[in-house]
Amino acid sequence: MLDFLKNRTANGLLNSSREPTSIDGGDIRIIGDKRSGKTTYMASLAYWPNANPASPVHSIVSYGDQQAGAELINQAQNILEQGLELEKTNLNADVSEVKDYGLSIVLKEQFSLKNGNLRPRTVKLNINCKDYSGEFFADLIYKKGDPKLDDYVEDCKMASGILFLVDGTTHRKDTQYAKGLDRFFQELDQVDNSENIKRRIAFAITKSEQSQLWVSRHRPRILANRRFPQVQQRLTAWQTTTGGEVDYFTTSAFGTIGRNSPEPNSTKIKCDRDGTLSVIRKPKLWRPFGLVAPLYWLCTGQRHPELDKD
Amino acid sequence: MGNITVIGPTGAGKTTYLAALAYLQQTNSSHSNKYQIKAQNPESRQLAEKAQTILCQGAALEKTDIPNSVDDLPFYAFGIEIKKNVFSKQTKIDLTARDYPGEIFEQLINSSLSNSIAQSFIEECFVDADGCLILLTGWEKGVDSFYYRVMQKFIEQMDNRDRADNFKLAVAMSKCERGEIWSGRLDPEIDLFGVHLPSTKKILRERIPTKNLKFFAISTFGVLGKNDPRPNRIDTVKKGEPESVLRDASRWRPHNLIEPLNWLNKKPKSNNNKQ
Repeated sequence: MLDFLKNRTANGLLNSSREPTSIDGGDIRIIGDKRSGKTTYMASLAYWPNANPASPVHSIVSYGDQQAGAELINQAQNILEQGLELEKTNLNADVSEVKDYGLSIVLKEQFSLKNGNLRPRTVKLNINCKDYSGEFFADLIYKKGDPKLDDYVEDCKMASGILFLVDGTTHRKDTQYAKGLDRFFQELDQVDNSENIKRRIAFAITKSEQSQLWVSRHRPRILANRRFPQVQQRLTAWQTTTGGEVDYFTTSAFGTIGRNSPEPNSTKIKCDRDGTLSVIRKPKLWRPFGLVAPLYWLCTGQRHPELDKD
Repeated sequence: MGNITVIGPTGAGKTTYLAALAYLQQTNSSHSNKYQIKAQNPESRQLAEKAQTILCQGAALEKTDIPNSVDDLPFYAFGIEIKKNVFSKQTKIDLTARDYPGEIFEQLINSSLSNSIAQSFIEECFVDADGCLILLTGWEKGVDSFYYRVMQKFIEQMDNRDRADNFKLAVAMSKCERGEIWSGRLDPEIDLFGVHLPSTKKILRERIPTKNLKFFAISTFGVLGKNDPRPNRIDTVKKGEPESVLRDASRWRPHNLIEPLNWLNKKPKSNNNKQ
């Protein structure tokens, strides 16, 4: 085995492989109901350089619209350093005003048996995400014909991957989400898909630092089934009828404190049917969980085991 | 492990049980040789502080009132490490538990359940929970028929939510330090439930798959010693309600606090037969 590696090095394969393998993630849209944590999710990603150094993520940098990127970093500082509550995303923005964030995520070297060659591979994901206003998902049901909503939906139709964020403590809104999904899928169905592109939907349960969710963080499919059975049923049906792909994730922008006895690194402000509103508890101990895993899957169609780890 | 709900009638000792769990690590009780328990969120730490007040200062816990919304019921999070011994390997249980007000349990047999706040509590009981610890405390004549009716309704609710076959029930007789039932603790299914609560036991055995049901005997206060089986408990009356406090905090030896949780944590075997 060692000889094999040495030979590969001598042939220059190892050296050449240090160039990151870029995976163009294409356009990803993030959808979710109000307070689902979309902006906090994006802000936490953008602020990654200060996160856990043991993570398989090497770096995340924003690119593209510099103003949007700077604003995102600013929000991240407010949320993750100052422990402030996030301002709600502007609902009156039309689709052209909606922030379009470009994120370039570089993962650390990992061994990959690609083309028969065992070689370390650095993966770079280039992702464009749009941050829709928080009411988008609920509006799917109640605001039929709304021009702004139609603009948003039209824009979603262009996306190859949909990241569907749901606050895990809003399980009593399962029926409402399912109805919204019905409408959303009707719209997606109208897209001319002559190129037969497979669309992926990552269903991610956010705010998983909450104790009742944290205990099930490594079994997201079961968690989704227990908490959001109707949504899961709709996603499964969509998968069957369209040939698209669906997978399940748990994420936490704030994460937990402590390895052996993890505690939510968040302080609850309120908790009701619309979910849990909290702020970070100890900014210096910020260690998000599972943020990159759904994006990696949306880009590659494969789960990265390291990204699912604590 | 996932989440469990702790239910039972008023005064069954649910909050005291959870408080004892939260506090166990800070004591030198016999449990701390076998288990390591850590309170894993602010709510469970607050509970541990309350427990200290009960156990060391002899104060009684306040009754858990029905809050305005089920969201106001805290989740208590514990990390329980069961230490390695010759028979078993080290196990770690991450557990969150919700302590339900006793009235919810009692309102199960109320026909107006569908219109009441209790309905939302019962709904919540089956969301994302792997199982339930049911603490029963009565063994006197007449209690059996009440528990029977409550269990009948509870099983109906389980069935309505498709949880009849995948929801574990650890049914425990609490306060087993009581002299009349202490001797029945070794085989609680036969000597406690079979003798004192036969109808309750029967309906559970008939309707719940064998793999999902187990009977336990629990004593949060314990007895004074191996050779001194007097309850380590003094009964008092506070605001007209019976309350119990520790008799000798230095001799605190709770009985079977962790075993039901350990069992709830285990995945049931694949056989799906009902007895």
